[in-house]
Amino acid sequence: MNPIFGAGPSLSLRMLFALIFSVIAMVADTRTEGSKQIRSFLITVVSPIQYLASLPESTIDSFATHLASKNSLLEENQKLRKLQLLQNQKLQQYEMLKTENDKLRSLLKTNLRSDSRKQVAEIISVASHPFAHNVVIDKGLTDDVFIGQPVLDDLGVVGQITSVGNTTSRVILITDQTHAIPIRVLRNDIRGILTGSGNLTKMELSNLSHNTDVKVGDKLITSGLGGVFPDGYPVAEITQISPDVTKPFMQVVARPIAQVDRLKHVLLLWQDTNDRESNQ
Amino acid sequence: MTRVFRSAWWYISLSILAAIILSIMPLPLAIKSFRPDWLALVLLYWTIALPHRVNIGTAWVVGFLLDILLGTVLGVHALALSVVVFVTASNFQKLRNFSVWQQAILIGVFLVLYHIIIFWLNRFLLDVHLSAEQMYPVITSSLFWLWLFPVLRGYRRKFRVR
Repeated sequence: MNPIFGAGPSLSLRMLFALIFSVIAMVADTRTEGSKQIRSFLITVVSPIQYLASLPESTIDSFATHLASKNSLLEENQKLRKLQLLQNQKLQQYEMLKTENDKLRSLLKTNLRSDSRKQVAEIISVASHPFAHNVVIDKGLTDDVFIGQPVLDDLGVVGQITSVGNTTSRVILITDQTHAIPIRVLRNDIRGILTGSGNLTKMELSNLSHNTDVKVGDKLITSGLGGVFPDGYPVAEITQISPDVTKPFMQVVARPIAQVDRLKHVLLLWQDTNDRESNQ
Repeated sequence: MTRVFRSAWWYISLSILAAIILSIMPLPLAIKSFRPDWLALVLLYWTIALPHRVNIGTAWVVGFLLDILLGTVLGVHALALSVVVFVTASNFQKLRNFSVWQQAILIGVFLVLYHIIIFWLNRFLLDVHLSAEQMYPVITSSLFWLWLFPVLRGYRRKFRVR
């Protein structure tokens, strides 16, 4: 029989050490700037585990594509063709509107909006903790990803990059309790701050006075203030307004437009350098 | 003797790695909030079975790894796991003599403590809110203990992990 705790410090002493180390780690992580580099290093070290964890799902996915029947593929193909036709038609108008908009903007002597560089990234891990809504993507320092970079999906804003490793980086979702995004109402340009609630389908529009003109169904888009997210991307739609006058502010609940609960691929956005300079 | 020592660590690490992968694997939204605390369960098993190998030090290191993987504040899961393992390690002889059902209930109590510690720390550090959802894993974890305990015991006996 092995002597139990025969060697080494006592249990209480070990607990004391664990407590001290934890407090040091927590304080260092939340109160110091150097933690960004440490996180970047740590996220690189653990990336093999992340790839390993995403392996079962990706294998099942590839099996599913192999097993997909010819009929369903044909059907999907047809659907996509129709969609492309519709979108191409919209794009023709977009080209025309864009040149018109550029002309008007140059007449008004304001900055032209330039197209930004985009890259598709794949989600390799999803942290489902209620206190940490974030996902890990398969792009990192080697792809010029940077902290604070906006992340979108095909429908709207997903979140922003919080830490970057060599080949992976972490994206905080807009529904995280610690995330807030500056928005404006598409209909009437009322500005506000949309905060996450820790629930993937709910976000809260805070600090709006009771007489503010917002309605259920209003689209909320990025306002471009704050310097992280570019102007004009859809973020959320108002789903519920409770007119409780006993509370100091209006209680407005919105639902994210991006499908943050079923992400597979996301878009990384690089704002044009001259665009950024002209904004400053 | 050194070979036995090395192999024991090898088998323990393998089970911990499997638990880590299970705790970060993507799951459908409907069952996501019911994901059992695999890592805590596996650590508690080894603490009860082999407290001279797995206790607070291991719990802290593994918890820290989980913090990196989940993107939570570094040290939160490390501290919560250390506390739970501390309580378990102080009572491992009593826990060994309980039936699996009694163990499952006690593990549930320990995991409530685990989630409350994580909530308190996050409340203090990030100002988050409490929701009932955060306690769902306690129920599933307790139920999974009934299955995991015999499985891990079989694993330990088969590979003679001591």
